[in-house]
Amino acid sequence: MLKKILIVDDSPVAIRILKVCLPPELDVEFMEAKNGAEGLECFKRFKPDLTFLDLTMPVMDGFEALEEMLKVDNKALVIIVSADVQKQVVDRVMSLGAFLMVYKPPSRNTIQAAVNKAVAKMQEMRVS
Amino acid sequence: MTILKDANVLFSEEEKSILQEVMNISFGNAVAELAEIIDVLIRLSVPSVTLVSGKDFQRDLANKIEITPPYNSIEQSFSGKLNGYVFMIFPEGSEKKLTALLGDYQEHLDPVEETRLEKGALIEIGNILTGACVGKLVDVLDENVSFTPPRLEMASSPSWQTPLNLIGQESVVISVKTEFKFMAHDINGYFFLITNEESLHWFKKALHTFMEQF
Amino acid sequence: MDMSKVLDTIDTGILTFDREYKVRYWNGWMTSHSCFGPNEIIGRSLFDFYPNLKNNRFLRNCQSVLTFGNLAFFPFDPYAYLFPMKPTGLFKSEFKQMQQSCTIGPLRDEKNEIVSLYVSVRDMTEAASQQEKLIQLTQLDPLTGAYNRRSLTFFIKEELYRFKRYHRPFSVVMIDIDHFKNINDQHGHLFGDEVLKSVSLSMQNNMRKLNRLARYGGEEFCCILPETDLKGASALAEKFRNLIAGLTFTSKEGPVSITASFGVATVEEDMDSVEAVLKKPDDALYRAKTSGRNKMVIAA
Ligand SMILES: [Mg+2]
Repeated sequence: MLKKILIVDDSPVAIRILKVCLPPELDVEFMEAKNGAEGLECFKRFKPDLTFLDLTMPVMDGFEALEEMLKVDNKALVIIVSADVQKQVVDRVMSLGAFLMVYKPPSRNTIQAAVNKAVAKMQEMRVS
Repeated sequence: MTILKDANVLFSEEEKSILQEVMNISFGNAVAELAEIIDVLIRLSVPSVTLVSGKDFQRDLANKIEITPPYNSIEQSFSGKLNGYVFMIFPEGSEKKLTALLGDYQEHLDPVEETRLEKGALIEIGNILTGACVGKLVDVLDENVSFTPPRLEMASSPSWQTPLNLIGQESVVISVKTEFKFMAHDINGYFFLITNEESLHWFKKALHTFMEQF
Repeated sequence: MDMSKVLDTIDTGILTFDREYKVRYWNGWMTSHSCFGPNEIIGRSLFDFYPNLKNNRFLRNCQSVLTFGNLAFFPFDPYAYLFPMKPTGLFKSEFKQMQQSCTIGPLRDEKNEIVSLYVSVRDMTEAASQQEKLIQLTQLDPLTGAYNRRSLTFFIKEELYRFKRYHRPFSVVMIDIDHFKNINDQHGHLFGDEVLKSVSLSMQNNMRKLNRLARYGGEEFCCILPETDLKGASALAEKFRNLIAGLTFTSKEGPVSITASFGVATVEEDMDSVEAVLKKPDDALYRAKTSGRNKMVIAA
C-alpha cells in the first residue's frame, strides 16, 4: 500500500540519515528534492503516498511547501523532519496540517513509528 | 580571494555537508531550548560551511555580511578539543530592540545609563546565544568546551584582528555562517563560527562518529 | 593534596549551588567578606541571603548555564557586583560596595549531566577605582571639574548620532564670563581660577544629571542638554545667568561680583558636524557679548 515516498531536504546527509532509519523491509520507490519548490513540483508529478519534509531550506522553506502540498491534496500525508523544534514552530506546522513531526536527528525507532502511523492512517482513509 | 582548492584533502565535500547538517541540528535544538529562557521565536537560515585560508578570513567575513558598518559585533572565543571564535553581528539599532526584548527598556533614561543597559543586553544575548549554539554543537558531538567573556564593539566597523593569533595566517579556517531572525522583534543578525586548523582533525573524527550511529 | 584547602584559602570567592538554588559550598573568602559562614548558609536558598539576586537577569543566566553548559559573565563594568559586600583596603572610601567580576559555570556529575553551578567572585574594586581615575584624568578639566574639550566633542557626536538615528533632540548653551581678562588683571590669576571653579561648580550643581558641562576655552563653557528643546535650554541659561550674577567673591580690594553672557541653540536637520552644532550658539553668544553682556541670546 505504501509504494511511493518523497523526501525533501536541502541536506544530502539528512536524506541519507533518514533513508538509513527507514524500515529495511519497506519496498518503495523514492524521489528526492533539495528545496521546497522542487519538492512541490515532485509532489505534483510523483503523487507520493508519504512525504518527509524538512523546514529550513533555501528557495522555498518547508512551511510554504507544506501549505502548497496540502492545497494540491488536502489528504496528503506529510511528516515534517526538522531540527527547528521550537514549540511555536511545532504548533504551527501541526495547525497547517502536517501529519506528524519528527525531530532531527531521526532514529530508527522514531521513523519506524512514524511510518507505522502513516500506514494505519492510509488504511483508515481507504476504508472510509 | 582564494577559496581553497586543495582544501578537499583536509575536509571533504562529504564532511562539509555532514558538518552543515550537524550545525543545523545543534542550532535548531539550541534555539528551542533558548525559547525556554528568553521568550523569542527565532528563524534560522541554512548554515553554510566554507573553508578559507587564515590570511583571507577577515575579507571573507566582511563579504558575507550583507549590511554596511557600523554595526554591533560581539566576539567570543571557546576552547577545549574544539577551539575557535564566534562572531555575532547585529545591525545598528538592534541594541534598543534587544534591551526591550530582555525587559530592561526604560523611558527617559539618561544617556549613560541607557548605553549601559544596551551594552549589557548585547553582551548577554551574545553570550547566551553563543553558549547555546556552541554548547549544543559540542554536545551533539559528545564534548564540552570552555568560553572566554564576550567582547563587544558597539557601532563599529570591526577588523576581526584578534582571532588571527588563534588561527594563523597560513592555516585553514572552517567558517560557518548562519543568519538568524528574532521573529516578533524585527531583529536580524549573523552568527559566524570560526575554528582553527588543529580543530579540524577533532572535527573530522567527531563527525564520523556522529554518522556511525545511523 | 587536599584541594579543598586550596579552595578555602584562595583569594577569590567560590560558591556552588544546586538547581534549586540551595547553597552547597561557600569558601573561606566568601565567609570572610560576607556576614555569613558556611554553617549558616549551606543547605539554604541563596536568595534568603542575597534577595538582590532574585532578578530576571541572574535567573536567565543561571538557566542558560544549566541548559547549555556555557559560562555567564558579570563583569564589574557594567554590573558593579552580584554579592553586596563592604570594600576593603585602600579603596574603602571610593565605593559603597566592593566592585566584583563574577563568572557562573556548570558542574557536572559522572554522567556529564549538569547538577549544580559554581560562581567565582573576584574583587575588582582597585581596577574599578583606577578606571574611574583614568576616566577623570582623560575626560575632565583639572581646574574646573567640568568635562574637557575632547569629551565635549565626543558628547556632541553621540548626541548627533541619536538625533540622526532616532530623532532625539538636544540643545546647546554657550557660556562666557564677562570681562574675565579684567578680573585676572585686577585680582590676579589665582583669583581668576577661583572664579572659574565656582562658576563651573554652581552650574553643575544646578542642572539635571544628564546635561554635560564642558570647559570650552579659557573662560568659556559649553553645556549639552539631551532631550531638550530651545525653550528648556533658554530657561536653563536664564537660571545660570541669575546664579552667576548672584555669586560674590572676596578679593583683597573687597567683594567682587561677576556676570556672564549666553548663546542658546538647538540641533537642526542640516547640522552634520560638531563644528556645525557649535556655530549657532557661538554666533548667538557673540551677539549677547556685542549687545551689552549679562544676557542670553537665542539663535535665530
Ligand atoms: Mg535543512
